[in-house]
Amino acid sequence: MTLFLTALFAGLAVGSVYGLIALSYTVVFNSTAIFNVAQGDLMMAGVLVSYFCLDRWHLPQLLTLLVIIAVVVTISLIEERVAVRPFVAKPVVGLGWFIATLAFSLIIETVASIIYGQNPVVPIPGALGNGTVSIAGVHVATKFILAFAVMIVVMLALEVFYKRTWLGTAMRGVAEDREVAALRGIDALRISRLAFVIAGLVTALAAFVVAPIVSADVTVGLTYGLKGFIALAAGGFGSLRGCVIGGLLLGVAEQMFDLYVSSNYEILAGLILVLIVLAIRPSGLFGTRAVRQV
Amino acid sequence: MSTGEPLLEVSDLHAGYGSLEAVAGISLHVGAAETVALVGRNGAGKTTSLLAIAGLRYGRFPGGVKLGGTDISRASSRQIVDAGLAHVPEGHRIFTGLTVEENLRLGAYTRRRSGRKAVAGTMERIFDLFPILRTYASRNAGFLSGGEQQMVAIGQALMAEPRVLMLDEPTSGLAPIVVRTIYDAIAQLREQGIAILIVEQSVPRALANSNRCYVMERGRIVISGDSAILAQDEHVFAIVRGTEEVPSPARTS
Amino acid sequence: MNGIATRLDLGSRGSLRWMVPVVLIILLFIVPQIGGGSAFRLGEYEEVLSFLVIAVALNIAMGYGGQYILGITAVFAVGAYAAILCAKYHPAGIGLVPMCIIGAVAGGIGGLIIGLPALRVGGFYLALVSLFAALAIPTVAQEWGFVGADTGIPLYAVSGFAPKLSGEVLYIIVVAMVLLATLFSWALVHSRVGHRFVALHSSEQLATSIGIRAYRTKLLAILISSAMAGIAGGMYVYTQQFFAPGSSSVQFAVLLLAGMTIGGMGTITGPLIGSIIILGINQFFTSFQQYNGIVFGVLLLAFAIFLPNGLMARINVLNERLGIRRAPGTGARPGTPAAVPATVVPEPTASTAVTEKPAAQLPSWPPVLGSAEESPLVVDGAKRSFGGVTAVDDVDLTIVRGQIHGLIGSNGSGKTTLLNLISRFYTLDAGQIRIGSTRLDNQPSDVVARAGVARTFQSPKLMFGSTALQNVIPAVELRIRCSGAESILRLPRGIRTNRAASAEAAEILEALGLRHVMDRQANLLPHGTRRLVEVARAIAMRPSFILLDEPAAGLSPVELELIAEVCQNLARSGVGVLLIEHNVPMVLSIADTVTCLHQGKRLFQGTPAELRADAAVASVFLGIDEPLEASS
Repeated sequence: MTLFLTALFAGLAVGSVYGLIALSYTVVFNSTAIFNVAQGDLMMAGVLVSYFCLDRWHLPQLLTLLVIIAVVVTISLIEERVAVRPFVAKPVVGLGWFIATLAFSLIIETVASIIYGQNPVVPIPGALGNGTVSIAGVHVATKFILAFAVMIVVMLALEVFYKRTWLGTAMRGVAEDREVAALRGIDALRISRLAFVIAGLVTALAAFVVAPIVSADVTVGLTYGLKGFIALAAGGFGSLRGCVIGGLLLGVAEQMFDLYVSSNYEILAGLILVLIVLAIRPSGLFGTRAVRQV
Repeated sequence: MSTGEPLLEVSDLHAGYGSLEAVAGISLHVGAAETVALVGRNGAGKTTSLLAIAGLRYGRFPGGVKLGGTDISRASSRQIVDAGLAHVPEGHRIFTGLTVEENLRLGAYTRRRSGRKAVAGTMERIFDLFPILRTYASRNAGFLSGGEQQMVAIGQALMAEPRVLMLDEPTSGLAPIVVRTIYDAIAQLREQGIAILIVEQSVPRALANSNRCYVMERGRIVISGDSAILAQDEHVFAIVRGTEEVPSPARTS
Repeated sequence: MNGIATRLDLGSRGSLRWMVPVVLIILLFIVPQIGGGSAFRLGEYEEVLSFLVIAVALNIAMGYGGQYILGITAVFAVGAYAAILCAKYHPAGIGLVPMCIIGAVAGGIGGLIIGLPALRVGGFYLALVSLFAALAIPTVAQEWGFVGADTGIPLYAVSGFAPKLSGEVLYIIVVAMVLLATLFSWALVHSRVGHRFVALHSSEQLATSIGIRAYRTKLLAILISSAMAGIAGGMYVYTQQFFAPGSSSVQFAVLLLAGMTIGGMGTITGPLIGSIIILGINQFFTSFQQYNGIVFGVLLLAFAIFLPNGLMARINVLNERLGIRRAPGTGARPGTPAAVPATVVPEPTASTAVTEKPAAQLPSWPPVLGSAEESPLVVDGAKRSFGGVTAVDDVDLTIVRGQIHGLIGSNGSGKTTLLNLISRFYTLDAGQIRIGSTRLDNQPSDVVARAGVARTFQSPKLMFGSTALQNVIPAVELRIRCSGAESILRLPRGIRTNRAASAEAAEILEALGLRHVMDRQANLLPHGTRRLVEVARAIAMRPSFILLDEPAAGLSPVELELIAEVCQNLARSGVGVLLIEHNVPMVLSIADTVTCLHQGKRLFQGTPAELRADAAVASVFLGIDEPLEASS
């Protein structure tokens, strides 16, 4: 039972990171109708920054967080300019955006490996220290709790943003019909830039909470990107709550697989999860079907 | 004919998709508190004309659009909205994933800094114009009927407090009773001093509800004049029905 | 390169396109002479060559079939592991061919496992699931002792395994295999199977409307391409005598994709050229390797933005221009479906010149598809609503063979929805659709098409990267029996039917006065001509019923007359015609029965004469408060 609970909490923590990545996919998708393949690499870049800040330069945690946000948001904006804008400005033909964002992820990864090398990044002390809290008789690391809390807060904040603010509503409008949005004076380009800022922010937070949890090397970007995508697919495209649930489900599934099947084949958990969900509910757990097609 | 200075003045406007010129140099004007109709067959270039006037340029053709004397032919769509021109495209295109209230609110996007009160005031007036929208304010707009969606679309455009309102086939596919409601609303708007340019498929409907009328065919305006006079003119019906070739040269009655 | 070829003046048709493969072949054969022919070097070349086979395979699924099986390296790995395990445990007598066969079978099975569930959901999931598989397989293999875990399986250490082929002989055989794979992909693309791939890729609705089974065809594309990737696995382990988790990483899948993009997806030689460039840089500029990712990334980005269709598409365009200048109308070439947007409409001046005088007497087109008896197509109480709006409300309608049924109504009155209900793009909420006693409303749309119901679309759906003729051919092939294999491999019956389909398609286009645009690419045709091509495609199915959705919109008076003539001729031939039109005078002049819809409901049904007298219809639909006598 203790083992089970420990695995469960670890799963929720890692799942929170997947959920955060899925949320940043959704933010971008909700205003540009594309999936940013480089999202995982953006997070990896954030993890590297946090390593440099904390482990090498011994900066305080809060300052580190600010530096991560600055770096990740900047890269995200650069990506929007060079790899995304050429495609969202015109009606989407083919998968040009896919190739472009993939190319961008390749560039991030290469630059990171030049800066850092191929060695695994050493796990970094968590923002709340390395302490534990006892929940249901199990010691849960504070870094796990932080990850979970950050994801929930981000999700709630995004819900408020989309529901209650001008920009949030405009973003949903632009995603649905760019032309009508333009007729109402909404600048679609500005909106998609903003989406990349927000997605960058969410990704930076993901990097900040994941850095103490996993040891990673510079190639994990793609892996995390794909897992975030699986969380998204399992939860259902476009739904913020779906991202959260999908992410947690994936994280827990992996830990359970680890515990009861084999730690070697943990990666298969994601594949199995997505196949099961797709078989039962093709539009994802929280996904809705389109109302009317042409 | 028109009352005072024309609010919207379009001169020699060209527009098209790719290298196909759908609009081959049209000129028209709409004055304050005036309703002007634009009729013509499918593919005559009416829709493209309105979109081009609204700043969604198709192609890279020249053409002058003036709003209240200011040239807006090079303005961004945002500047055009700010200048006081709003367009309701055809097919009651609204944001179906948003509620009615959110749809309306987005119409006031360019006025978002003018204060909560001002925006709420405009929304009140739209609810007065289309009372049914008040009942459905928090409903998802995608679940409304076609007529109600059209009301949302018009209301959304009005949220920007425009001086000129353009409507593309606002009543196509709607029940006669809804058509009446919408034209009544349009009449009210005109009385408030808004200049209205309307594309209408049904010629009698267009002529009955407008002061002046332009007939388009193959990207050009071929007939224009007072609606009351044009209503007596068989050619107008024949051209729109497609049973008569365009008389040449273009004439004005 | 373009410039040189232009100056060399290489004959009229297809000059550049044929130059590229010839240069490529020569290059591949003489590489060892240039780059050094040591055993080690040869091994490296052979590694790249087996990767090229994966590129060809990926191109079949993705470039032509439109199936984004991005993680094809997963399938490659499965094939390779299967082949190497067989060789490890039964080393005696296993050669290159058996290894490739084992690889093909294992790869094919792997592809199906990935494809079957993902395809149920749709396009993007296949990309996701396959990429994830490409990530998972090496990771799992790393931990699995049976497949050699981290160190992999070295075949050279297995006693008893003695490859018969080595050195330059092996190299030449491997080059030949790459060429064979390329040739196969060419033969496939130009066969009835390939035609179906291209149709499906350009639009699923289009494809099912001409009777193509979408799911099966997608699966076939995945199967063929996975089997070929499996063969590449067999080639790899035979030449390298080694396989380890590191031999197929997900990063490698990305490299392949980069190669495809740069060379040009959906062209025969493009993926080869692109992959040679990318893999060449990756393999042979090792001192530079640290920065490779940046080079690839920038290249890929630049191509995605500035040359989204790749090098070969560029060359093809150039070639087309050369061809048109020299010999007008002989530039037939296979489609690059993904590459061509439909929105490019050519000069209006072209439209006036395009329609030739059609055949004075249209040939008869008696129905071939559908039941022999003359049962009518019956729509019975059809109902469909979308989110609270009832688009079609309790509509009855009967299309009688040999008659024209006109369907009129204002925009949004439910005409097109009704048509989509008949061809099963929408499901009915209530009611029935049947031919005789055969229910159609519970069948998928391709079955409806094969039951003899052809249709056109309001905005023409064509394969815009293909010629007018190629657009019509798949519709003919629907009803000429021949297996896909015969058609691909050019067996006698395959050759016969390929030719027959092409000839018959040409005949129909000719009858509609489109002979001179037959070899023009569809995206270069004016709107009116596109409509006519679509009508030709519907006729080519030789259906029992034909549903035309506003065929006359945007046509010139001459073309309009032709459409009317075509409808009448179809009716004379015994076809039931449903004609949706805004041009009421035209409908009234040729229809036997007219139905008028208003707000989803049937407002009127009767003969044109009755309609003219019906004031209600005139006022509600036409918005003209007088009977229509005057206008017709």
